[in-house]
Amino acid sequence: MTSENLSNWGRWGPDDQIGVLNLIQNEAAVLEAVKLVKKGDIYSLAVPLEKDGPQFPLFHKTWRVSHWQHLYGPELDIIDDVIAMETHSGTHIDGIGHSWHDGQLYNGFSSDEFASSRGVARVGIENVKHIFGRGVMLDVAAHKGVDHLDAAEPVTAVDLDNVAAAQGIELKPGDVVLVRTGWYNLFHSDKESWSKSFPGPDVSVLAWLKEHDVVAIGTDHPTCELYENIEATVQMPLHRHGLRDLGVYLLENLDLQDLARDKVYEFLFVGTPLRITHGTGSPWNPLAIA
Amino acid sequence: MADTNLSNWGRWGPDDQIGVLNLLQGREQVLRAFSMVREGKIYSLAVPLEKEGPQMPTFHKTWRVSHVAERKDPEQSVIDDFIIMETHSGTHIDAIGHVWADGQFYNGFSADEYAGSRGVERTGIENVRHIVGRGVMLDVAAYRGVDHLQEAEAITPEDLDGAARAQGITLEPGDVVMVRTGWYTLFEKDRARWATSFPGPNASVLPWLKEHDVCAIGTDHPTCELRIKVGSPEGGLPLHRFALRDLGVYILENLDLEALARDKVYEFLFIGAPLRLTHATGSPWNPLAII
Repeated sequence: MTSENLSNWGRWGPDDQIGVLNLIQNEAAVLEAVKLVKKGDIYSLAVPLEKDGPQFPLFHKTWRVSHWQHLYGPELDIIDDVIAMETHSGTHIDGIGHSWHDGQLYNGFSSDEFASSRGVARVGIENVKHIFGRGVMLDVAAHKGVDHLDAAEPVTAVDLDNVAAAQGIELKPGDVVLVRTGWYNLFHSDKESWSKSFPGPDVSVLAWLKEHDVVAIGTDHPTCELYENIEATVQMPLHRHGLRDLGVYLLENLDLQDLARDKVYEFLFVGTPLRITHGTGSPWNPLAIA
Repeated sequence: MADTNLSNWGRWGPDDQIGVLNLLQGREQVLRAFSMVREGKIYSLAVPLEKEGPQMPTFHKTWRVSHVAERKDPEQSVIDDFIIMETHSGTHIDAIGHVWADGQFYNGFSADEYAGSRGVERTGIENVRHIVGRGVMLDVAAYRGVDHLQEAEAITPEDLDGAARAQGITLEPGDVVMVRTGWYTLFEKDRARWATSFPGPNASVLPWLKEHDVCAIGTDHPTCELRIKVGSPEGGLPLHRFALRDLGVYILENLDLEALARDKVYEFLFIGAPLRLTHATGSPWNPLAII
């Protein structure tokens, strides 16, 4: 069972499968979000999806091979690809069914009944047709005046409040919050260090997510957690409680570099997961439109 | 060489890799497309992506298996999936590098030099960061008063112009045009029939695409072409051959246009974001129509 204060179970009824996304699934919210498009600038927040791209160091890879066929009369060559990949590769969204404990998924759905090698028959990614709402980028690295946070440096709720205040951003219910640690800078300059640990939100952020009714939180590295040591068992409170207890989505491996360069902190966020039936997550190419 | 009347080679310079999508790259175009959002209603145009979903009958399948990692203290389970799929599975976009002929891709890029089992190093899908523009749905099935067109029934420019007129739509340069044949309504009802042939645009539509400077054309079935018989080369693939390669017009396949048809939504903001698959020839996606 979950702590009552840090749970959204039952809030949108016993059958709810989409969690906090409920807050922005209405026409008024869509129209409000569209007002954030003022200049007509579009940023893709996806990293390259390829074998050696930024992916979870232990096991997430994307393989692709292309194959071509030659047709006669009239002549034409057609080239296709086959990909083999983790759904949690590259830039992706974690469905709220990605994690459970005590035999229950988000909203109390039974893991014995609904989770197996067939996937998750409740709270799967196919329930997320789109995430379309206000996006906010909190540039923690810039606020601290560093290129990137240190290895295993926590990002706390106080950090997030301070950054938001410095950027002149007020959080609103239903926001998609993207946290920039600068760690993606290391991917190109020092892949070895990049893959050993990740700075990120610590357990203090859970109450902050609930307080602000955040729909999704993301980072510019593969875990969206403070991950002290890739080789050790870590707590992963956002996976454990953010997904399962709150129904808050986690977004991983975002490329926030262009937003940081242009100091774009508030925008329309448009994310469209693949409609993978019973999938636990999906690679995607989310857009920030300002 | 491409027929000069039906070619966009060189139009955006010798290095261009995105074709007619060039027309949608400005801020003005983005703001104009967003000005079409008035109700706040969003339609996903993606079909389910699964092994038995609507995919090209001859070879496109999507396999997925999920695996659980469990640990104790504290007890915690994480479930992930592994997928193996054609990039041209389910609802997807064909990159303009999906075909070539006479040794050349769009804009004259050499197939020998840039295509191989490693993919396409020019005009690959990673060049398409997004398609954001005006979308138009031409409901040819409704225009003809049928549930769906018939096997191997051709769609011509007269059909497209007729449907546009009946719907009160005027085409504009850069439009993303989606043509509803109704064939998807057969998928659940009679899959064997669904898989044998597809009605769709024939070669006569090519000058129409050029005349209207269409950015992308899509249908509600797996080929975006008139396919007389699946598995047979009969009739060729003129849209793949000429629209992708000569015009640099994107092809969208397996769109779910049913909800748009039901609500008679013919004009909208279109947002499509392909996966950023380096050197890939296409990408599964979940495009949105927003009004």
